[in-house]
Amino acid sequence: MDGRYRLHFPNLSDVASKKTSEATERYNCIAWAFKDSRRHWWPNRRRSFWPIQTFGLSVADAFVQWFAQDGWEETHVSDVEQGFEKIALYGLQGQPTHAARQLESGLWTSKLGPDIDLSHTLHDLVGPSYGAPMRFYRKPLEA
Amino acid sequence: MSPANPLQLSSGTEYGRKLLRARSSSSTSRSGGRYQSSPADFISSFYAVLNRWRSETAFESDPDKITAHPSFVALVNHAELVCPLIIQDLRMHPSKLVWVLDDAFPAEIPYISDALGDFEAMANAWIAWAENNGRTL
Repeated sequence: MDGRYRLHFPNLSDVASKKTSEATERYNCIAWAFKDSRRHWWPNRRRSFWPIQTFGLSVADAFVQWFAQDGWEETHVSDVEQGFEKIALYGLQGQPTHAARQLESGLWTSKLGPDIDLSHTLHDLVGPSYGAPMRFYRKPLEA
Repeated sequence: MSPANPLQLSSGTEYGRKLLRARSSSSTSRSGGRYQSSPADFISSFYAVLNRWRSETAFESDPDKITAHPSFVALVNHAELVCPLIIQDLRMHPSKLVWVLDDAFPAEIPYISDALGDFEAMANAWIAWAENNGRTL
């Protein structure tokens, strides 16, 4: 199973044990990070869902604006902090490529494009496809 | 299970007649002794093109990158012919294939903007459009 992932995610191994869902095109990584398993999210007003109007903004700025509007603040701490949920935004050359949501265990949950969901470390998905985590955001957990 | 022989030709349907015309015209393209590809050849390679697009954009989320892939462009360019096959695929798996139809038939987009990103809603709208316009198998 690992073979088809190796080219994109050279640090990722033992995919079968990390997999948490079957592949589906219904939603993508950004949607999954924001707990939506019904839609494809991307700031592209012709193709995908995006929760706010971002006319005239770059993709990177559209992400920044949405995180701010949804109550997220940037943090440099990637470890678990009590009372906060976290999202790691991966990027290549400053451009967002992927988002992962932190689990209580400190692992992260991701949807790989139209492929599977899996639990992983941040390092697992570093590679030529997603680049590396470029920003972390945190938000107080809802009571 | 694979689709029920989607390439089987029948002159009893509009799509069957279209395919037969395409194949008929393709025979003349071989008459000069030098093979030239025809629209019918694309029908034969539809699933190979589709699978290549899917596999080579498998971990991508950015629609601009997904739709810049040459296989996506080829699907759009041949959508008039392969629309019934796209519709059949969408019936089984609502997916980004709706973007092919969006680009091929921009004046016909059958869903409202609130449905963007909801592939099931987008696919259902395109399926209804195809059924109303004789573009199904």
